[in-house]
Amino acid sequence: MNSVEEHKKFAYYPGCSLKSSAAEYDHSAKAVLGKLGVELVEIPGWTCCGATSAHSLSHDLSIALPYRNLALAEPAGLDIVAPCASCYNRLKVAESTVLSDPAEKDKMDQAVERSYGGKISTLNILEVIVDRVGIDSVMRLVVKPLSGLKVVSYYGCLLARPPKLLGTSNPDNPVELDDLMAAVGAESLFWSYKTDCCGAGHAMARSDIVITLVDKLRDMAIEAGAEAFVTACPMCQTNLDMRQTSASGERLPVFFFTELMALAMGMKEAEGWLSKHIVSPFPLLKKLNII
Amino acid sequence: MHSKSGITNIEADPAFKTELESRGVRNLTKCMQCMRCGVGCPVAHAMDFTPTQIIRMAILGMKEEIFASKTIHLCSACNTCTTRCPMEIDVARTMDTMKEMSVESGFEPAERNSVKFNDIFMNVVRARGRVNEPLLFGHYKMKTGTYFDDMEIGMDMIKKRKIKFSPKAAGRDEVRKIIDRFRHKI
Repeated sequence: MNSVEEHKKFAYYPGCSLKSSAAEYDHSAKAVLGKLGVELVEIPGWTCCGATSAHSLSHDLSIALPYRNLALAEPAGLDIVAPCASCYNRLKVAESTVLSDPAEKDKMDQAVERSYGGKISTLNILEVIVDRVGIDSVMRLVVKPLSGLKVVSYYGCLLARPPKLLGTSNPDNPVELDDLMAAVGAESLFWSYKTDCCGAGHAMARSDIVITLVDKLRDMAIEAGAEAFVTACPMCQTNLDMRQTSASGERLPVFFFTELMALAMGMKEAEGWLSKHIVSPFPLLKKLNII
Repeated sequence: MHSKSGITNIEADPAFKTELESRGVRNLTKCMQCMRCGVGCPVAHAMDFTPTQIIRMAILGMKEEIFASKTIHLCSACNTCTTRCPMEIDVARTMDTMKEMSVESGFEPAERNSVKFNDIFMNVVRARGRVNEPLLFGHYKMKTGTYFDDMEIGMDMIKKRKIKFSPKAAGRDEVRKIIDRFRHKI
């Protein structure tokens, strides 16, 4: 295998959401990455990263759970791609915690009974597509530009912060999703809420907080002129899709960016994925002759 | 305790700050109350103390008040505060640390359902190695008695076939050992 091909081969960490309520993100991410020539090898025996709940209960637990997955992936020598923003964040925090502190690493080696030495690292899916594959390659595969589709790109918290641990270059104004939307012919409008919080893990215990935050995001998206949200996080997608209230305005469809890329690449499977959304995107897509 | 003069005397625990530091919280005493964490917090509207106030209270050793607060449980870990702090205090990590200490000490939390949700989440991961959403939602509703909350959303999820029983993970025995080693009983 030559180095170019090796460069586009990754260990795949889907995470729990992509295997259940966000299955359409799993399917669309794999389809789009496949079309872009990226080869994925699912990490054998992967387990939960602990998400929000582990770090709320125990710092050590929040490092140990992702550490196990880093250790499982390392022997294959492939960098990990984690499409879920939460998994990505927890894997990165674990990496940087153990690599910057030998005592932490010793503690994890003992607790997990496996070891990770920093030979591989974790990327989010935007980094893989924008940095490793390139926007030009995406543009070459567009057969049906998403003309007329006005969206706001919503990155949420976990792809952006904390920038020191994640290595984010522009935590207040990331542009990767905006650039990808432009590449597939959609219009990604500027707004000031790209990295605001959706309420995340409060969805069950304090849904009132999520509703307050989600409705504000919706209002601001409409004010910017958008007809839909685009996300790269299953928790953001779920909260936005399920918690917009209709009392104070219309509910906007919430796309995974990979679903829109797949539509622009002419993939027929996309309609099946989109049928799982709570706020149906079909009226908007039909109005714009996208489907 | 209120004195005649109206000045409140607080029961401070001087060891609290040291305890936070020993658990990895850095730069705490550098806080100059600039309030960037408080004004940027997306959940401040639902909190009883702003993050800025909580940091001050931590320095003063107001452990009981912090453990009894809603704030530590309502932090959504969005890390806006951590990113903006000019003194490089990891405010979100500090919130997590205090939440962990409060759970560890058996303190009755102001946001009981939030703590229960996290505990049930960990029970499901302990049993299966991965999150299983139907089990998580079902157990949460049983343990909190919130059967009728979000009925409409539940029906939507069923109609759209969003609810799936994902299989157990092969590494669940290892996950169980990890969780049993680090989790505090609530």
